[in-house]
Amino acid sequence: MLSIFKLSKFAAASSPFSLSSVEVKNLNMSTASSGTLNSFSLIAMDSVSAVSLKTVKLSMIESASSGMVAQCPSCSAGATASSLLSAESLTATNLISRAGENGGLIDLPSQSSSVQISASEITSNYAAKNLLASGQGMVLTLSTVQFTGNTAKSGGSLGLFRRGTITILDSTLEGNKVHAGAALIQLEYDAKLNMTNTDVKDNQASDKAHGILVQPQQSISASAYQAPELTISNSRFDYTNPPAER
Amino acid sequence: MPFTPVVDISGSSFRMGAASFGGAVYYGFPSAGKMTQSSSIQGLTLIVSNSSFSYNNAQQSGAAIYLDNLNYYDL
Repeated sequence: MLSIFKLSKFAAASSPFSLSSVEVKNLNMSTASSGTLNSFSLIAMDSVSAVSLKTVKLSMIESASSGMVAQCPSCSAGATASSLLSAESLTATNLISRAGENGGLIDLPSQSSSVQISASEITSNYAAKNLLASGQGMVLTLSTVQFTGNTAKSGGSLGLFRRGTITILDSTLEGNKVHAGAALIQLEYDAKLNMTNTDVKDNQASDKAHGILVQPQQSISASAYQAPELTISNSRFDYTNPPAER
Repeated sequence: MPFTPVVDISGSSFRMGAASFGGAVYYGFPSAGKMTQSSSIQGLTLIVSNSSFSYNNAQQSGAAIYLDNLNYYDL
């Protein structure tokens, strides 16, 4: 795997790793000899770390795995972090994540991930499952984010939430597609969605919901189950001209 | 045991599906389009305020919000 920055045992909640004004584009991740696709990640960490990104641009990169912006495959699921990743003015466009169980762009550990993205553009990307979040317990906040023209194979183009919280403020979610499940967000259990002043426009799901799918899982026991909570205000859901079904 | 949902759609508007709330919110179980402003589902909270739903439809993929497998809530 190619990682531009590798954070090894970087325990720095009070002093985050900060990265600003970086652009990575047109990166060929195929090996010359066999054509096998390698994995790419801007930041790979091996423990829970605090990372701050500002004015970072990634474009035209194809990876064999998820977590193209950030990943931590060996992070402890039980760890805690007050703010694992914050990104301001992040531009991610034409990124392709061919495989991986979690977020194509951000693949961080369950129950320890706090991700805040603001004033950013996430456009025309592809993920094998979803782009920003998956797994249990992630706290994801999007503020003034343009999330447009993305495609996911399953799990919602934006993310899948179990025991997580997603907050979306002053954003636009438009023209995204998913092959299976909801076009944008899937909530399974014990998850919260807060959406305020957001445009949800012309997204396309192959079967269930062009916006949000609430889909409890039969395997969850009654004692462990808590139904999702959705609070939506001052937002607009428009399905006038969705992209064509594939 | 009946569902006891908490649903509040105050101040919201619905077009192309407004007459049938199922157009904006697809009620996966027991049947589509049965949810009303005062209906409820056990444990699930859905509060929509001052929002608009335009040109959604009662097809599954045409729903803005799809509540699936709601029989699982009846625990």
